[in-house]
Amino acid sequence: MIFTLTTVTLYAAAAFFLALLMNLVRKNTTLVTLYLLQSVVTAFALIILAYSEGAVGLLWAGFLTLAVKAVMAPAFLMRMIRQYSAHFSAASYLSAPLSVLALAIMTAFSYSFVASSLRGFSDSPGIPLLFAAIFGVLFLMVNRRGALAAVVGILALENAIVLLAAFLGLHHSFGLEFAIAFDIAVWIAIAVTFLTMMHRQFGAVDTATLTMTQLTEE
Amino acid sequence: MTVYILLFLPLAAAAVSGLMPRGRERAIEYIALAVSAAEFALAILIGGEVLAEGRVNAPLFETDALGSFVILFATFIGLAAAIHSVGHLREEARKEIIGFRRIRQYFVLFHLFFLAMFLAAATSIPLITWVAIEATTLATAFLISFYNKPSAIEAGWKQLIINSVGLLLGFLGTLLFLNAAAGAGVTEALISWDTLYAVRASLNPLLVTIAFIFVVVGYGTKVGFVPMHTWLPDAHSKAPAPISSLLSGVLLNVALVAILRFRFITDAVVDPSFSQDLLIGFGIVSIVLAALIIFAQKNYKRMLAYSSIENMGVIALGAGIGGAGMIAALFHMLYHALLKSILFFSAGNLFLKYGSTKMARVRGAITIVPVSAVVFFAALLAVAGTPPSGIFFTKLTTLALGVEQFPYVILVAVIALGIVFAGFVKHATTLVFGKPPEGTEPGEANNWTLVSLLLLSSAFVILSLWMPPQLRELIYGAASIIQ
Repeated sequence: MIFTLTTVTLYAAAAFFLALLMNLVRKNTTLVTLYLLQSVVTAFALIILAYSEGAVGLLWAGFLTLAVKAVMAPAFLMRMIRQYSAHFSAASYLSAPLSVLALAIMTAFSYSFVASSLRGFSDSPGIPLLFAAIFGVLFLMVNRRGALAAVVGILALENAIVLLAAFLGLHHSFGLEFAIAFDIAVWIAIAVTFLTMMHRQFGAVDTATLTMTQLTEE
Repeated sequence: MTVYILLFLPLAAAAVSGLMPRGRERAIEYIALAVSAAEFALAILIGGEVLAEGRVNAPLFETDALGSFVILFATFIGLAAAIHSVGHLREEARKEIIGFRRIRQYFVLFHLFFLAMFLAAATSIPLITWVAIEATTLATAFLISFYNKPSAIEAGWKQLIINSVGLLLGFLGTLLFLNAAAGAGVTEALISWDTLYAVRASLNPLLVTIAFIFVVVGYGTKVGFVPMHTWLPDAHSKAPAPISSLLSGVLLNVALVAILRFRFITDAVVDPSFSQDLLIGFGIVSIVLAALIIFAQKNYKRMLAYSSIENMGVIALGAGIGGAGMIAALFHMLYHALLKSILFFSAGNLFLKYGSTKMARVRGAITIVPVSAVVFFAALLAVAGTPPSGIFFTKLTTLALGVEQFPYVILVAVIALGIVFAGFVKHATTLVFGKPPEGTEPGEANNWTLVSLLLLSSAFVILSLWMPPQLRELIYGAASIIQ
């Protein structure tokens, strides 16, 4: 069986470390590259899972995921970065050491609370790692001011959840996986359009440099 | 079959409207009106089928009484919104604020928005519900940023990002529920609500507890529960008035129904006091925060948006209390949907005339737009809980039922609702009476914007005084599904 406990942990570890690195890099291009790698990991996990179970539908879903998340989304985002010269992302609210500390606390929380909660239900060490990856990308969205980081954060969060679902042994039909992939594809298109509109209105795609003060209680 | 037709209609309408060449605004409008009327007729048929058979017999879309109830009021408000949209957009086109492309875009997204809501309400599969609710976020993103102003773009962006994060957490919660079912031996690819309930005795309680927290936080973001509500006042105040009415009156309920369905499963697995505390907690916090902001509000559309947060809090409170409280919550859902649509429509009429949503710039509406002003004033009093409006009875029932079990929560809720009432009276008096700004010409924008108002107002008055037995039966049936 190809999809063993060890490979599960390996995929989860890769997703987790990529989520961790996303918090530490400063360049937008590197951020998107890390997301691309995480998407490749996710798609391969689905494809190998499908192969080991002989699930043709899931195999197609894996290829679809690869096309949408590892090709389409990064291509859109890279073009966006080039077009608007947004190579460097905005500053984060916390400094790098504090960010690492926060991530360490979240990882510890995943290993203590989440792992103990799921003990006896799923003993795979990959599960707490994926929960840590989920907390990590949520932190990325909160901590970084860049609009692009928010987009990448959501896509990376979706990757971690899809991996978690696969590792928890949920069997999805091709139709549903297709619907989710389609949803994500539309989401990417809409997010990129919004970034374009924001650039047109505010002259930047970075929320740190935007004067987003239009909406107040006044 | 009726459910499939209901799902096909908005899809076809969106496709046909999208293909319309320049200069065919009227055709796009008439398609919207005809399709909305047909959807309402289909919703009545579905309701009849549900009353007769218990549910609709359609694979993946075995709509039950709860789904049918939501579809019924969604289509009715949809019909009124289509009528109002025609008048609202015609007036904006006359002022050259929008052109043909915008009108076409609006109606295409309008139909897709309804398709997503119908999917979410009609399906018997939790994962399809999630996909559909996520689709509502996508369909409404460009409707919220419709006017293409910086504030509208910011509102659309916030809605997209915050709701997407929330719904991904809801997705995680859904997957954990399904995983609990898989652990109980379920092998179906698409697990239904019924299957989840059928295996309730074998579900892992701890996993279900964690899953429900993710569901409440995730879908609760879409409902507008405090503190995940931050996108809602921006989105609801920046969207065109008919869209605001649909966001407040229909969409929030669609997401709330998803929470209530999960809650039913959760209560069968863990101590019901867990979900009760969670719902009552989110409910009371939402009511209090919304009340304080409503009182201090200076923008009338934002005030209405906060009123939606407050009313979602009341519904959560009723659902949390349970028993007759759940029935009161569902009646409240209906009355609030009607009233909030009336309020957003009349607020839209004020906006068309005054060109501003700031209260300081709107005075003497009673002399400028008399019908809209009277309806706005009356609807504000009604939504605040003035008797004999239906909302008075649902609020009273909820508070009365909860007072014995949760006296302090109810005391806080009563004070907060008092603040809401005072805030509404203060703001409504300022907007409706007084001397209008110089140069503001009296007269309503057009008849379309009045027909929609009168349609919903009549329905609200009738339903406050007399509830058709079939609708009552449907609501009781809906309540029995989730408790």
